[in-house]
Amino acid sequence: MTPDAQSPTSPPTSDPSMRRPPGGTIETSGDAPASVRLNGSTHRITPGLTVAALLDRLGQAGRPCAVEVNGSLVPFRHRQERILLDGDRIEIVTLVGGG
Amino acid sequence: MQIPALHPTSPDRPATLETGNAPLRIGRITTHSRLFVGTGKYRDAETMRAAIEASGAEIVTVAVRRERLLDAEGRSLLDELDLTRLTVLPNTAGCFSASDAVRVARLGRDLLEQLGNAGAHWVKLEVLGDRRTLLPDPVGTLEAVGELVADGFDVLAYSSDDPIMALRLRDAGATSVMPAGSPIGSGRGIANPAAIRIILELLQSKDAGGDPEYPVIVDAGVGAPSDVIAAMELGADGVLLNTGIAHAADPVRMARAMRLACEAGYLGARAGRIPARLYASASSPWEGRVATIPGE
Repeated sequence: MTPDAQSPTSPPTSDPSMRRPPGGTIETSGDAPASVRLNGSTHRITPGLTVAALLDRLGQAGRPCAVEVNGSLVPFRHRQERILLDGDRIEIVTLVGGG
Repeated sequence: MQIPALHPTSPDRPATLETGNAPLRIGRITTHSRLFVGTGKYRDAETMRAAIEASGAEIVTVAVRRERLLDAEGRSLLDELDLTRLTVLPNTAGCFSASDAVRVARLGRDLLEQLGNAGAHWVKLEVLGDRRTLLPDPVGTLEAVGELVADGFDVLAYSSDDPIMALRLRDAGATSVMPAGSPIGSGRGIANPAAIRIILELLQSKDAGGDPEYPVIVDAGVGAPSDVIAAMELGADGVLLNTGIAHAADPVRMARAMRLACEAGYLGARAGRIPARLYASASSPWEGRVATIPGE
């Protein structure tokens, strides 16, 4: 899986992980892919990908799901802003049958 | 052992009711069915849908699990449930720590907010203490109740049948306590009826500092309709079950039986049953009988 970078649409915030970099396209020096844990497996993604863009690449955009990064919920309304970084642990969950 | 009736002696509850479906308020949710059913373990989605329909339940529990990202084409549970009619109660099943349970509760809320379902504000809290028994960890459960209540959740706390634990959960802010009849999926029914009854007395009797409207739902271990009746006759406000329907040979028929049992037990608890007695009491009059009794 090698999703492309995508520029975030949100204004800058004080949270470094949610800051919009100048120029729009997000790349680290040397284009080294970021290594993330996604639902327990290691994946390489383009650094600076947003949660929303990741879901889009995964074909999840139209399916109800919830996302957590490094143990904290990324609320639905913040997916366009939340940028994924090297080493992030990402969980994408849905609802299944249970008691 | 005969346990005295709860509801007929309570001035706060009507002695007679027309229906077995009197509304039950749990925090911000009001349900007209006192049977809550799970959505797990069904052999197929069609059976699940039919069983939920037959159960009359308005509230269904679901679990939060990782999305199967490589197999995302298949239908999901959310495609199978009529979310216009059903209120989803997400659980934290499979969590063994308070922090994991809080994470899962927040993930479930985010999902249900996206779906616009009324169940976004509540959670069935399970913090388990042991993988084989699936018995709740009381310390972790209590810790999670505090965090979730502070975060705005209505918390329905799965617990053992320990009355003191039930009090602690209520005092920590749980909207409802859900004592287990017996271990999850065991089908052993109400293992300790007296404990369930004491929980009800402590939480609901004004004499014990309780609130007659505080909801107590018996959860887990229910295997047969008679178990549902037993729980409701003890005075429970509702029963939650999954395996007892889903793994029955005929889940749809069992769902209907559970529904009728829930209504029967609800009405029976409020109808004022006769006291059990050691000796007989003839139903036909002694007066005017033509027979002689030997020795008299």
